[in-house]
Amino acid sequence: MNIALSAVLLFILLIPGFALYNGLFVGSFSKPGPKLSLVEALLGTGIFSLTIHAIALLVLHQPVRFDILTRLLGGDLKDFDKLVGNNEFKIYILHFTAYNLTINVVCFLLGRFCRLLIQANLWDVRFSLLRLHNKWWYLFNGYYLDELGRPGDRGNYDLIIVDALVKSGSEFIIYSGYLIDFVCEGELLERIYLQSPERRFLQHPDQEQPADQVFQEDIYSLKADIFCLNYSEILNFTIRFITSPETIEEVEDVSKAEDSLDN
Amino acid sequence: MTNVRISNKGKILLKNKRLSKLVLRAIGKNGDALNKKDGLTVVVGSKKLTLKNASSANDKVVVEK
Repeated sequence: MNIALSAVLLFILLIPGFALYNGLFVGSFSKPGPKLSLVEALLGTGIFSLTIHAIALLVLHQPVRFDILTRLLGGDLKDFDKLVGNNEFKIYILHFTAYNLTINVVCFLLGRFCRLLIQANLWDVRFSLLRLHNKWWYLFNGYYLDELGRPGDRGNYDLIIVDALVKSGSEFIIYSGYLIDFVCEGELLERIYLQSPERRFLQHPDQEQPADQVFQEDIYSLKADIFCLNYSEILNFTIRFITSPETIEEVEDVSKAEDSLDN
Repeated sequence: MTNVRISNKGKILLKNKRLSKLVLRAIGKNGDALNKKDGLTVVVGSKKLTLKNASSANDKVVVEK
């Protein structure tokens, strides 16, 4: 009895479930998968894969040599050469490979199609079960504004500004800048990238300064293009989603005007 | 390559480093104006740029497609 052979064959037959899961949930900033034991994962994908194979059998209308399949699944290779000839077995192997390849590709594409459907209808925002990305992705792309019923289209703002509070020794520092990227590990935010970073010290409560008043001399430009800030160092941060009613042409004119000022 | 969705208007602003710093300073100086109906106006030479906070804008936000 060849256990390794039957295990490999079983795994091949279970791939459609994994293919669909990958097509549906694997992508940028995808949410971590459910924490399942090996048995639970195999059972889960097994039920789905069995359904897919059953549908395929109904559609194909081709005779299937279950006698060969069960012998291989059982790992019983005794007198196997008497059951099927060498050339015949070659044909069966090619058919089996083509069948599995087709099924797996179809399942992956089906997963991708479902993913697009979910995103197009915002079901990933509405139903937690269908959430495709981790929560930071939805936050930084402004989806929570839509959830709160505020104006704005999903994830397409002109500027995103972050003010992050960081403690350095006994001082509290606020780093401000345009959010241009972020890195996550599963559901955990690792770091954010800010463009045009600026730094200012948070005033001590004893020093009277209105909360909305910021003195220009307090602000210090970090003179860097991009500032990387580790999330572990951030105490808290605010995000502002900025929009501009001007057209692209008008914004370009403003940019050119700024360039001409410098010249 | 960025994982934050920023509109083309935003990309133009970010591309011009001096302008992006100017806008950031203006927001830092008078951030409350972003929540007002008229928004925050940043004057650059003879041109001006209006900025509003998306979450408190009273009018419908026009978004590029």
